[in-house]
Amino acid sequence: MSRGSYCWTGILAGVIGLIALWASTGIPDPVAGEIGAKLFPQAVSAALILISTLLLWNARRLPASDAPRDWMPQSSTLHVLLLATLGLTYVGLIEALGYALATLIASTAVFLLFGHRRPQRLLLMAVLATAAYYLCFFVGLGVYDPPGSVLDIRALLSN
Amino acid sequence: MDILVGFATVLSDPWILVAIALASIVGVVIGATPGLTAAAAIAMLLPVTYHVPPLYALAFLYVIGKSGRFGGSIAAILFNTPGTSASAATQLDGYPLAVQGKAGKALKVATVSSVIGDTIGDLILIFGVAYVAQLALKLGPPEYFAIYAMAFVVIGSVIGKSMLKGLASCLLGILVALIGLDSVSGYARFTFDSFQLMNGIGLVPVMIGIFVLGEVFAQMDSMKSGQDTVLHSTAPQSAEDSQLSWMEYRPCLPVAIRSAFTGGLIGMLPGLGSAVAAFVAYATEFRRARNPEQWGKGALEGIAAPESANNAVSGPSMVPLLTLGVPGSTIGAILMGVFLIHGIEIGPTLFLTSRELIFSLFATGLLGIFCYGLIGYFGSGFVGRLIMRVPPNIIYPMIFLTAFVAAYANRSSLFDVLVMCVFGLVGYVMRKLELSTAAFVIAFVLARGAEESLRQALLLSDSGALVFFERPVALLFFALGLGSVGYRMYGLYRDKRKAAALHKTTGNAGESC
Repeated sequence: MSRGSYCWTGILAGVIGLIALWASTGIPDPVAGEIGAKLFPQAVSAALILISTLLLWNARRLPASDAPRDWMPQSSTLHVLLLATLGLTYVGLIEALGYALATLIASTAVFLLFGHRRPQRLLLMAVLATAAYYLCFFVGLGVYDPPGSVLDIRALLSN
Repeated sequence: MDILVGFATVLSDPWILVAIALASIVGVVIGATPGLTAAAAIAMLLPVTYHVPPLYALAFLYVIGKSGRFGGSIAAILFNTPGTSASAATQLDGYPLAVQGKAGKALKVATVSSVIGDTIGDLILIFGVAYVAQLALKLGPPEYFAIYAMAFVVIGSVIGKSMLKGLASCLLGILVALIGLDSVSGYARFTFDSFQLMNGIGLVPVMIGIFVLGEVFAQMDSMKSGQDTVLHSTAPQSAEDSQLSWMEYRPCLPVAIRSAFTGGLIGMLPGLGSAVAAFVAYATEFRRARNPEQWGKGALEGIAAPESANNAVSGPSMVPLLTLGVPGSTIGAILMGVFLIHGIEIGPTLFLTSRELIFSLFATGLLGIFCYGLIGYFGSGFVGRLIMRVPPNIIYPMIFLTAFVAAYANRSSLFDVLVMCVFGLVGYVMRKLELSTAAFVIAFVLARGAEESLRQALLLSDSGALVFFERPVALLFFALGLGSVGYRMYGLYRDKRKAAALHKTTGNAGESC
């Protein structure tokens, strides 16, 4: 356990605790004779602030360590952020293009991010993955296929 | 006799048998894949089970949990990488045996011991759970709140390396669970005027995000930072070395039976889980061993003890879930979600309303043990070779895509997919900061029940918060929570003193040199 890891966890927990405590003050007070909706959130927020203080106190007491700083952003973090961005973009793509087309694009990108470079193989895997998920979930299990708001492939095909 | 009715129900339905067999295969393969856990598999496959009757869904996911625990031993023995944290203790003697060319023998000992441990654990569950449920029927809201509080404190303080980080994880999980409309007053809490947050954050997207997408992010991180595990398999070398004779297993049998009871006892306590059981059993049996010099170098008993104990946790960990509605483990928390999704109210009344379903579930558990026992005894080597052949840069993109479709299939909601993405990042950050994802999810599941019981207890009482001091059972549970914190703090203090003493000794030795 490194000092930095404790310190960052303490700061993060403290910030979340303070935001939660502030947000819970906006919950209306209880009607007389009732137990209000703010009691529990306020108690939990206060406990989180207390824990964050203890984490920071512990961090202060820990010696600076030579251990690898795994908790710090590294070059690999960029790839994680790219993957996360791809995830968020994928959600937007599903809304805009529908599941199948969005998955075809996202699967190509995700295989690319994981190091596949040969275009033919990449495309083949993307097509196979999209077909497998579509057949399994939308055809097999009957999950509702969202129509694309920008381009609706199903409507185009049925016309 | 209820269990016989359960067996009759299960054996008369071939589709349940198919689900059990399929779950055993999926669980073993996923458990044996380093980086993948049974909890992640269950979270991913949860939406698939919406479309089937509750018993099919529960049987499928419960057996994946069981076989996934066992599957971890395959990776520990063959690849020197524990497939699950629970199989880290198995690695200590399993891998040295594999290096000696006795991987087949080690896998067979792991299989037989897992089957013994899991069966004893399930028998403890089957014959003990109804009694605990009868006792639980007598508990009121103050006692329930005390149980929830104890669960938060025990889970927070025991899971993970740091007690403070465990407790912080728990509190974060509770705060996330409180997002949405208050079920009693209807007031919005932590919604920040977002209409979509009014319904709260769904359990399924949180679980898929934390356990599945978070793990994909973590794997991407380790792949790109050059820390990804290169698997070197130590396949069985000769047929003779792969055989396991009765004479060889005989000394392991009492070890496996004793360890099963150790695991069973630990399993009933919320939060401790398989990894703790495995290491406690390993340490206990090492102290009793007649051949301690062989432990760590390839002792068969060194595989039997942790494997039996970590699998024995599976059944008893369902006791607090089924009787009190308090999941003792991550898999328990996910199964609680399955019960809720299928409209089954868990708690002591479960044995009045769904007795046949529960005993049928227990029967599927026993059949699942038999199934993964067969797979493990005859097919562990094949599973190991199969995992070697599929590269991680195919597995993890597929898991990434599965996470999205699974989160969407939950309620056909793109907002759920967005929530899953956010919690994927949360899971990744938690892993980086060594916060406990298991404590977070368990607390998330328990939070609403805890608040409800607190409010009921305070409403019913004339003495306010003093109601908790007037109820001896509630006091007992509070004391258990505080006791676990005290015990953990004492353990940390003892470790610190030992480390300081060691530092002093090595320092003196260095000076004298």
